[in-house]
Amino acid sequence: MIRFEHVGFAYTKERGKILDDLSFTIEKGESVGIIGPNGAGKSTLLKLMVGLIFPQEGSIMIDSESVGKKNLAKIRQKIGYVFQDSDTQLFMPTVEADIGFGPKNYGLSTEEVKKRVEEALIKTGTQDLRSLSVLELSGGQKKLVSLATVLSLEPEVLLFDEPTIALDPKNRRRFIELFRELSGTKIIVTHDLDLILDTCSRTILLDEGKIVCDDETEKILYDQKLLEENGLELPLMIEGVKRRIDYENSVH
Amino acid sequence: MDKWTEARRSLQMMETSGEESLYRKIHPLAKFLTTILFLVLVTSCARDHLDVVLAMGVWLYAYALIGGLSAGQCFRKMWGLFALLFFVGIANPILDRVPALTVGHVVISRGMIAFVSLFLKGALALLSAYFLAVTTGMNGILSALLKLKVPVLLINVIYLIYRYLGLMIQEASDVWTAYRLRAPGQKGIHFSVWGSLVGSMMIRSMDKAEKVYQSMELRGYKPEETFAGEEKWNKESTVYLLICVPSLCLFRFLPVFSLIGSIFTGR
Repeated sequence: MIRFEHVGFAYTKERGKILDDLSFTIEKGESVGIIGPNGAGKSTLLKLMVGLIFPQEGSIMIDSESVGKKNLAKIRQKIGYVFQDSDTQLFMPTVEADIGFGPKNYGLSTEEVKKRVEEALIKTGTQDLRSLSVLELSGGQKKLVSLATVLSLEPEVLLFDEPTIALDPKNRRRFIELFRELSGTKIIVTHDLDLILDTCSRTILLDEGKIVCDDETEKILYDQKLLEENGLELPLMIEGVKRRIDYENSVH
Repeated sequence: MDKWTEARRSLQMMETSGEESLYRKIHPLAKFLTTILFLVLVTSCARDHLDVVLAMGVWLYAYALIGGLSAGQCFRKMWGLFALLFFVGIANPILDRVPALTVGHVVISRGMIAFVSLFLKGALALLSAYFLAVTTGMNGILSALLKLKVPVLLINVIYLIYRYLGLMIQEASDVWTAYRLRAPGQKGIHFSVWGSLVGSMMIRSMDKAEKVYQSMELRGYKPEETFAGEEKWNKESTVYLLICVPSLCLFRFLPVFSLIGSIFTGR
């Protein structure tokens, strides 16, 4: 369970609050989409969850642990964060070494590290890439390997920052299938509303650092007025359906 | 693969290129100490003692041969550094023309001997560091440093610089491509934009460096644990040290070439 209680955060005083009095709870096993226009505070929210930054106001609880400097290792073992830019996430000489980097750091035995690497490779379908250099991978492959590096830590919560950015339709579909297969709590921050519609049962709409709406995904993403008031647009999928209905009405 | 990607790839693959070597099983600390000893012994050679430097070269050649390491690969990858070494001592033969010895009808000056000696010393130092890198890997070297009680902060800095170099090359490649696309027909980068290009590259690089560090932190990076090293000191490492240290001292302090010569000449 993840609980935000009256969380406020500002990078600098001059820039003002990025997040203001934010409170919500995400239960174990939920798939939640966090949406909002640029600068709404979505990525900041993820960074707060893993303790890359700390709130100036309020508190963040992961299960019964409050996110703080003292228990960061414990928190980070529970939460896996898949970066938006895979190039900054992958830095070891080979795919295999990169996936094993996390488990090794947590002091697991060589056999356990090997086992975890193998499982992560199988889960993401990247077994054939194991001995390749990260530089030899395509954008889609890099994204899958980034996910494998996180899965090898067997986290209870998975955070995704714009996971489908720069993915072609085939890889995007593959990612969605993989996402659905993964167990545990999953949180996606994205502008890709169609992805949210495909994968998340609950959506939190943020604007100017505040929660505008927190409800079932369909309720939020089918509400054109609500989306447009907050700098967003209907998902392309729904837009397409609407156009088709309009077209059929005009024909008949 | 363009030259930038190739550079990044060679950098990343360097630490895995010596996996087949006989020395891979040796404990990192043993290899690190041997390399340090080699460096000390080579750099302490007097500049006119070319025979001693050559003897050290023979030792390193034998070391590479036994361990299945390729010096040619090192020359190919680091030719720029070897070229730089060439220019370091180039002034010696010009400034110091006092005759030192005559081979046949050729008079060799003291400056020429000093130049060759400087170049060889530098080349041997580079080669030995390269052999250490390919047979031990960055993690192994840092675990050896940790065992030698080098401050964690320093280990952190070395590791981050190493991991970050690849991204720096990528950034440089992106900036270079962006520049070329908007400056067709130009050879190189015009000096008037050097400042702004380097500046923007620095800012972009810093941003990426921070993200790399965050990624490492999120996956439990802690120098004390990451480089704790699971390799235990083994018999092979003891044998390795027992062979390397005395043989190195032998090549450095005894006139090896004269001794070999006396065997053949009987004098």
